[in-house]
Amino acid sequence: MKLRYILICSFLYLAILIFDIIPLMKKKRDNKKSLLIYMPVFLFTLVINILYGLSVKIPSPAEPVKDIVIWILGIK
Amino acid sequence: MQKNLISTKQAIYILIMFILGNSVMYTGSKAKQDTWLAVLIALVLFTPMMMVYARIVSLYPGKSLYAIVIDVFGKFFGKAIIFLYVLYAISLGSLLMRNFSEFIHVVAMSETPKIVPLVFLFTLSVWMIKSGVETLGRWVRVALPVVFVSLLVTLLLSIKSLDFSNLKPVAGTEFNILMESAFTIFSFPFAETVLFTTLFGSVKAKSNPYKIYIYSIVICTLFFLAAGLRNAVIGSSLGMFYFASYAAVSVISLGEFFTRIEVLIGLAFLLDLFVKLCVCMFAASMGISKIVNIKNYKELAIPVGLIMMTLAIILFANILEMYDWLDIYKYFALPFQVILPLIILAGAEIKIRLK
Repeated sequence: MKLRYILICSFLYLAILIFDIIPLMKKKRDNKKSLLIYMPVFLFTLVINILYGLSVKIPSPAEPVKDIVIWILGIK
Repeated sequence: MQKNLISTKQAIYILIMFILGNSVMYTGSKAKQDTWLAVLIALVLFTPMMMVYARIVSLYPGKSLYAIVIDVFGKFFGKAIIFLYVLYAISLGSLLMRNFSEFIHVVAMSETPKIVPLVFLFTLSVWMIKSGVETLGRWVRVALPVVFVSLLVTLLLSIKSLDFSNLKPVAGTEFNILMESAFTIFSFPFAETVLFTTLFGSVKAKSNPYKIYIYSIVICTLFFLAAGLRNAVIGSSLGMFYFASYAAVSVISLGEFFTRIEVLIGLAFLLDLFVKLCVCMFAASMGISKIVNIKNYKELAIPVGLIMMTLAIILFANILEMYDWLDIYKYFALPFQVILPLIILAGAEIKIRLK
């Protein structure tokens, strides 16, 4: 299961690297801003996905949002 | 180069599919037999907000919500508002992706890892964003008839199994629960259409936003009412199912040879959800491109898709948590659906009058 997940993610990220990032880097017009957003997102999500694949518990962002909403509205 | 724009008709089609979205599967609420009543109350609640959304975009024809907020509030505050909408679009998109993978996991491929359908959905939606809004406009002209035929067939075939006694007692639900259900339907899906205003930069400037909103909402409300009645075939056990419409349609059969009609509902769900996800991705990519001044928003399709896909995976541990989130979602979405549009409208009206 773990290996399968990581394998699927690796294929996806490799495909993105080959078919989107490298052609974007080769473009001569101003693409620095795009890459400045693209690369951190690419690497960050890759790391999260690999950690998830290795069964590391990733804290859900839904929890703090839920707590804030409950705190503001005082709902149960 | 001439900018490719979508027509009023295409905008209506996209908005209809956006509203049906994943709601097509959940036409069952805490109001149970009074769901149809909750839908009508939600429509009444939503009508003023619909007018607010349409008014905002009609004040600046041919401009998207993002261009409007920058024009009204200036670069700094405008970009701060855009950032909030980007967060909302990403959170809604990731919720849709999770919905999709749970649906596939629960009803069809329970042994397949959840990442697999997500990867396919990610690839298709990124492809759509890179092709542009006009491609989505052309695509919905093909997809919407398929959705309508699927829904119509299930509705017609369910007539035989309908038991109207399941709808009794009419208005028997407690007022609080009825209003909570109406609020849920208001927030999910009606008021989510605020994200569609971000696409108005790609709709022909001559289009009438009121017409687009009113036509879409009326058609979708009629559908939700019909689906609410259809789902009465399974009576009070409606709340037991994760995917109420799917369960309701699964009991329908025509003789012994025409069964498993729920596939049609599944098809409608997937097509609608795909369109809704694409709108969220367009909204998020266009928003980020406005914030950082990137000319081509299509270059951001993959990063936005990756964030949504990763969030879809880590947001909830299981389907129960996903359903619990829906109780919080309506409050979480309120600032984006009601408060910010009202502020934007007030700012836009003042700005227009001062010009």
